[in-house]
Amino acid sequence: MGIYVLTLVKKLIARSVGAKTCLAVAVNLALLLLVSNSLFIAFLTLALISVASLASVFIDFKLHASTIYVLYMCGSKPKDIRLLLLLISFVNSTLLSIPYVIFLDAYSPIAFLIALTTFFTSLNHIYIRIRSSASIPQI
Amino acid sequence: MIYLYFLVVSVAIALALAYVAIRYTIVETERSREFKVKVKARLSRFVGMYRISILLFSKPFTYVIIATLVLAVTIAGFSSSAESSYVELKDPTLTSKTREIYVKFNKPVTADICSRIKQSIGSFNECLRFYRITLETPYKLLSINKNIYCLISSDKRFLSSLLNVDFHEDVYAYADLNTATMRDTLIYDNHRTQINLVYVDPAKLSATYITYKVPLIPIQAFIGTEPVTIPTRYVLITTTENLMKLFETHEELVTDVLIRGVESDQLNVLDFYEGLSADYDIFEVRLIEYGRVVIVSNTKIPSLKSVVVALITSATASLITLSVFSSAIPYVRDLRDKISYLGFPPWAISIVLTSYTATSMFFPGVITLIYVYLIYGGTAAFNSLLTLVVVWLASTIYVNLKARPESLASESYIPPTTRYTVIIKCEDISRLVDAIVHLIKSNEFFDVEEVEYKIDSNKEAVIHAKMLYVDSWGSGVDLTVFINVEEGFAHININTSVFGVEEISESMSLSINSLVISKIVGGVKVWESTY
Repeated sequence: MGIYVLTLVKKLIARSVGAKTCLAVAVNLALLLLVSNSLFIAFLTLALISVASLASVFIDFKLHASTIYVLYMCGSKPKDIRLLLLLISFVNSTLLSIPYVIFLDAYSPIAFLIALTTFFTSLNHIYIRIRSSASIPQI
Repeated sequence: MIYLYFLVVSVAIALALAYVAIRYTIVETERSREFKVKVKARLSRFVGMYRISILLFSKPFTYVIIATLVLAVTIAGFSSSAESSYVELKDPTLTSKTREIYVKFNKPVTADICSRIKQSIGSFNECLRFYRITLETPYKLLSINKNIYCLISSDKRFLSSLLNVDFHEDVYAYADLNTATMRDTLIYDNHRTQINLVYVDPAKLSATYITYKVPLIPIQAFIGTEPVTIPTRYVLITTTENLMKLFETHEELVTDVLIRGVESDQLNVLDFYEGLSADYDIFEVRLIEYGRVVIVSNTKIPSLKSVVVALITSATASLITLSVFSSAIPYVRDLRDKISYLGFPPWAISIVLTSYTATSMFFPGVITLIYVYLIYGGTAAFNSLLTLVVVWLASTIYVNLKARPESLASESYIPPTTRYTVIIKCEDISRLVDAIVHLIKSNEFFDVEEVEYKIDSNKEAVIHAKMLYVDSWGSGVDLTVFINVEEGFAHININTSVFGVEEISESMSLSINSLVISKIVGGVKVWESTY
């Protein structure tokens, strides 16, 4: 796919509700960390980030599933599809970890990694399911 | 003999009651069977709804919702903070230039409290100590047979000036006396002591205050904002020395302290309260000065920051849960349609969804709430409750609104009429056929492509015409008219079939039909009247 990956990522992010949800959650988390900066709260919000990531994947399940299906049926290479998924995960994870960059810098890598892992694992799981269940038309 | 009589009567009544019970059971058997059938039918519907909510519960998004709610409730609970109740009152009737501090303790403290307070607030003129206690087991005045439920003691000089009573040794002020003074025996905890009772006016006693809105007699309850004190007939007042002598102790106990003539004019009551409450169990502190009163009590209220955190957490959790629910709405709508086909009423889906949100959100939320309450206390539980209620209500309302069945009242589909029957008076069928053919040919809305007719034995006829609609290319109508004449009446059956090269809209089909049928029906009725 090459350069088209970036175009696809841009379009998917623009169309997805999950990215908007991530942004809204990030704003709320920023407010929460601004008001209450306890260590335990930071840990709990990290867990909340993980749940929010999972929720974002749920929201855009159809969009991601249909995109992956079309790419798969068009003969895209697995590494290209995974690159696409990784980039989508990267954008959403960055959005979710912004509050930590501002208010709890030490925790921002952990927050980013948690969000990225959750996003990528979930999206990759969708890809694996589609790959194992999709029927390839015979020419 | 009388026993035998009662025995017979009892047995007879028992047998009569048994007979009535048996008859009633026989009569009601049929009804109860019917009732069982009805209940079972209704119960099966509820069981069905319960199973559908379980079906929803087993979906993966439920676990995301549960996790979100549990985390949000815990965050809200943990980040709660409470502050002591702080009330400031402006009262222009307070004209005294001196400053007073009143401290009320939950448990009695020792008399060195005054020196402890001096360390906090600096110098003052006077420290008045009070011991006011409500007794669980009443003391008794033997001669006049009266119970005492409340003991009050304080400084001799202060009480004398307050109540106009000269408190000598063993003198106790009491309001429920018929004489000015009398000697009586006070009984308490198996002790008997001779005391001197002095009459004090009950009205005056009730109206006596230690300081600003703090009555001498302890407050029992409140009716609205008005305090209700213990009735004066149960109250015994004396000096601290007399009370110490009564209890045969050398240690003075104090429940209330009034500091008069506080010199510091930069006193922070909240800091004073918090400093003192580190060592003592304080109920409230009052600062009374010119024109204003500040009251700080041990009643804990959630702080503004705490409520803000709870609201932000609620917003975050609501955002996540509503997003997840929005992705589940197509599935829920599909489920709604399916249970509708199964014969469930339209409100069934609302019950299913409400029970689903109750199961998936409210129960885990309540369990977390109990945990928060046990670990962090009431204020934290309040914050968690706020979050739980907001998220649960938002989710329940959102899901129910989104999955609500569409209104049953809608515009019904009216198919174009393709058949029409009209009966008219007619003797000669050929003249009727000529008239109808003329009507077909003279229809200005149609180009007649072909018209054909056949008359059988002057009783039956059939007319067929193919007409093209002039306002639209490639569409028209195929018309067939059957006529049957019997006993001077003609039954005219008109059948139409609208056709089009392209797909014809419903409104156009209706128009073409109407134009054809109305022309013939109207024409034959006019023909009948002129026949």
